[in-house]
Amino acid sequence: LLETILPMAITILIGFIITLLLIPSVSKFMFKHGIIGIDVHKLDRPKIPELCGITIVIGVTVSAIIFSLFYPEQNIWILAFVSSTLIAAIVGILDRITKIGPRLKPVLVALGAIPIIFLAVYNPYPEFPFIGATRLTIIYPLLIPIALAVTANSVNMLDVFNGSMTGTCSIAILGMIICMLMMGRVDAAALAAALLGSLLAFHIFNKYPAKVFAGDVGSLFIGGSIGVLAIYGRIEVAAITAMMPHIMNAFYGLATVGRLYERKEISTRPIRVLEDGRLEVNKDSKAPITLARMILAQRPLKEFEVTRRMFILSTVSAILAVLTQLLIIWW
Amino acid sequence: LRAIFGLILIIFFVWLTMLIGLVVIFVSLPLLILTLSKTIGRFFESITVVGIASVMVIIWLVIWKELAFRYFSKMIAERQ
Repeated sequence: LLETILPMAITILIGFIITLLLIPSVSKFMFKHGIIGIDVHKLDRPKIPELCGITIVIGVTVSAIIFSLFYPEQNIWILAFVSSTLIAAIVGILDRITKIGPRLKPVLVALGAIPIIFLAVYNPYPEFPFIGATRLTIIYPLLIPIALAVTANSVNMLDVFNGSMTGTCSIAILGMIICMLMMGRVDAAALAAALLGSLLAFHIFNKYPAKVFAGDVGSLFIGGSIGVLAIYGRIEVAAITAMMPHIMNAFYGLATVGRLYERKEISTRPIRVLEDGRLEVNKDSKAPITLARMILAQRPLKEFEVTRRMFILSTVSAILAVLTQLLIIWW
Repeated sequence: LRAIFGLILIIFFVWLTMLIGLVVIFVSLPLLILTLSKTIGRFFESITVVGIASVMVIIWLVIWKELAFRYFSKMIAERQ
């Protein structure tokens, strides 16, 4: 039990403490240098320091390096994890500086698959419920870039409300950790715990009313990390299930607009703010159908109420993910 | 809560059809491979198999989309 809990406790604590300590100074730096975003879902539209997700990047990376002390045999994997996720984070920073666009962004994030493929750290025999282990030696490496692009961009697209991305991802990662422990993958669970620790620390500042924004650097890094952890932990199907609210949100938006898009380029916003501060669905048929719009379809809600409903949906998905993993084990 | 219940049902449906879809794909592919490799060769066989699997995935995506969009339209109509 100690061998299971100790590495996880250490990585989660390191991730949590580093992120928690960095946020105040990083947010001050961002605000001072005009790296700010407007909180569009508030009546007074406050200016919030952006790109603070860099604290999650640092927290998880330092924690992953310390993790390698516990599992020196996994050093190649740590190298693959750190380099793949850093590629996603760099894409996030580049997007802030140069606006690389909605079509190029997923392609660049998909480049994060290169270290995993070239270091050959993946296992092309994924297990499925009712089927068991499969042999996907040709298809599997081709699916890795797609997996990273999908997870990173779907997490990015759910970063719409205060705490929505950090909260839903924390729940999804918790579900993934349980799945990894069920499979006896303590090493993968410890690495995922580092991400969970960082996310929980960030959530304290990002929850309603937000004091910091993660920005693309944070959301792409987290999404990329989830993709890499699913491959490392060999819980691919369970991870897809845990990420269902994110994937559905991205897919429905994509299906309505008919192409990859940035939130800023959508002329008809899916949500509008009422005079009493509540959020109301935009009934215009041109507005993309997103998860938030579906939640708000019945009646207007306060921002934190919408986020809470997203957490419930994520919890349901995380439970289904654990159930999926149980089906794999039982079969 | 009703809105959440509807979305929970959608998530459950998507999960269930995903599992059924995976079983259908992985059960049917070996049969396809056995049949096709004898007639059209391995290269075209791989292309055909990936194509068929992709079409199946697209069909499921369309079902999920229609389900969600109908749910959304129904909710809006009920309010009005």
